[in-house]
Amino acid sequence: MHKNKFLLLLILLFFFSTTLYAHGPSRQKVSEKIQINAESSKVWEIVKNFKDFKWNSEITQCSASKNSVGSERIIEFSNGSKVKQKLEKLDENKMMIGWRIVETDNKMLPVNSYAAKVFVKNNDDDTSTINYKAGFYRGFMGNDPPEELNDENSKKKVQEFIKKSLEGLKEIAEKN
Amino acid sequence: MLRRISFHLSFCITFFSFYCVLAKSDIAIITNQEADTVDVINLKEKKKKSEITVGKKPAGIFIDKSKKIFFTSNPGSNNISMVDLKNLKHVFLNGGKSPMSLQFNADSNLLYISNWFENQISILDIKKNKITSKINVGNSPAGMYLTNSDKLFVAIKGEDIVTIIDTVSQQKIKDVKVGKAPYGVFSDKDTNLLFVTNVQSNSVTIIDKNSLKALTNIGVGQWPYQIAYENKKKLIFVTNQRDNSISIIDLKKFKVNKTLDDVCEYPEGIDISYNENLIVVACWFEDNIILLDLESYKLVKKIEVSGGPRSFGNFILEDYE
Repeated sequence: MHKNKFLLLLILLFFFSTTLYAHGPSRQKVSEKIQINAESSKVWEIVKNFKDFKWNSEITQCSASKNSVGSERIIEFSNGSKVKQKLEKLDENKMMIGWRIVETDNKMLPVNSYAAKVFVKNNDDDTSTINYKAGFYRGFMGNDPPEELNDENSKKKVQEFIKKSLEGLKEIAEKN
Repeated sequence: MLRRISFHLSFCITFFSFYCVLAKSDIAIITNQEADTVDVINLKEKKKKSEITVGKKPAGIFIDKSKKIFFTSNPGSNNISMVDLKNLKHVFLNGGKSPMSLQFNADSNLLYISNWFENQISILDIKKNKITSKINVGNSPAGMYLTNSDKLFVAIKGEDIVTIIDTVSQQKIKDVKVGKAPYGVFSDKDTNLLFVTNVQSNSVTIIDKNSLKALTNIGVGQWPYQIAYENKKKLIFVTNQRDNSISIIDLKKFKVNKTLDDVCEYPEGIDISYNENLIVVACWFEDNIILLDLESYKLVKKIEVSGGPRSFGNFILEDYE
């Protein structure tokens, strides 16, 4: 009997300690690559066009004033979410573009301090490889995040978004 | 029985790999936030020598040269790892919630821990494994530096100040206004200057450790994180996470005299090995560290690490045998 009570106590202690177990955000990263059957120069023309970011099929609208560093764009998604991004880096020689999320909607991209870069690389066989990288914190910056805004789910959402964007880019670039 | 054998085996393997480090060399101790490990890099051989499992999401590091121990802050498991470099014994210590930066006073055996979400500094007696007191500070305390004269400088990220605490009386002495979102606080016993990275204003504030006044604010790259002080030419090296660059500031002129571009993706921890003539940089996004020549700043080698290297704090131990 005593033994059982002790066991029960141990189990209770275990649950108690796991509910207390919570941790702060640590930075997440996502890096995805795709090979496109099109010349890098052609792909880069699409990639560097900050004003017209519609690779992802869930994006319904993209509005921006300019294609120069400092310019901002608002991307609208089919679910109604809006995300505002700012162009931070544009390097023609390296074929690299980088932007940052200024305002997000946690339904679509549950992130904080999100910055992404897209690199276009030329392959010998006239194809190109695109690398899309993002560094960010989860959607909820405090301790004890709700499940949908924790490290794991925030990363999953970003991963899905980036994969879908790259697939869309491939489709556009290979079409014509 | 089997379990016991496998325990001994794993211990021997770890110990043996560590034993290989023991030819005298500078070592770099790298906290890997995504792998829950610490990697030990021999800087003479320029090779990773061991991997030690610590607590969850290790970020901050403090090495005590006199006692040959190091500490890591583990914000994922809300504790501190203490590793004895002589026998590799690893123990967990209390760290309070969300521990970040660590500073240690070897004479008093007190470890100072900044607790990000608790808005306080915990003082841990490492012999008793007991938090003996807590000091309330402002919103989101991050990097810290403890001077020989018992002053603790703490970056208060949420309030754009550095709070200075007298560790003897445990009272706040002063708040110094710095740039926006201060994160890292670095200095060295050889200088009366203290350096603060302001993440959101992309600048470094320099504070005089004696007068406790801010002397200047110098613009650097995007998201400055960590600083290494070079004591011969009187320079500081600043890692700019979002620019993939290192700003080099001349302390005689208080000016950026050079920027190293494209060093790696998300450079974070940075420290200097004088014996090997190297600057060592942890590249968070690339899962490697890079070694740059201290004179020419040319890349000497990239070394792969376990994952998500940060090494927030001074992470090089000199002449390790």
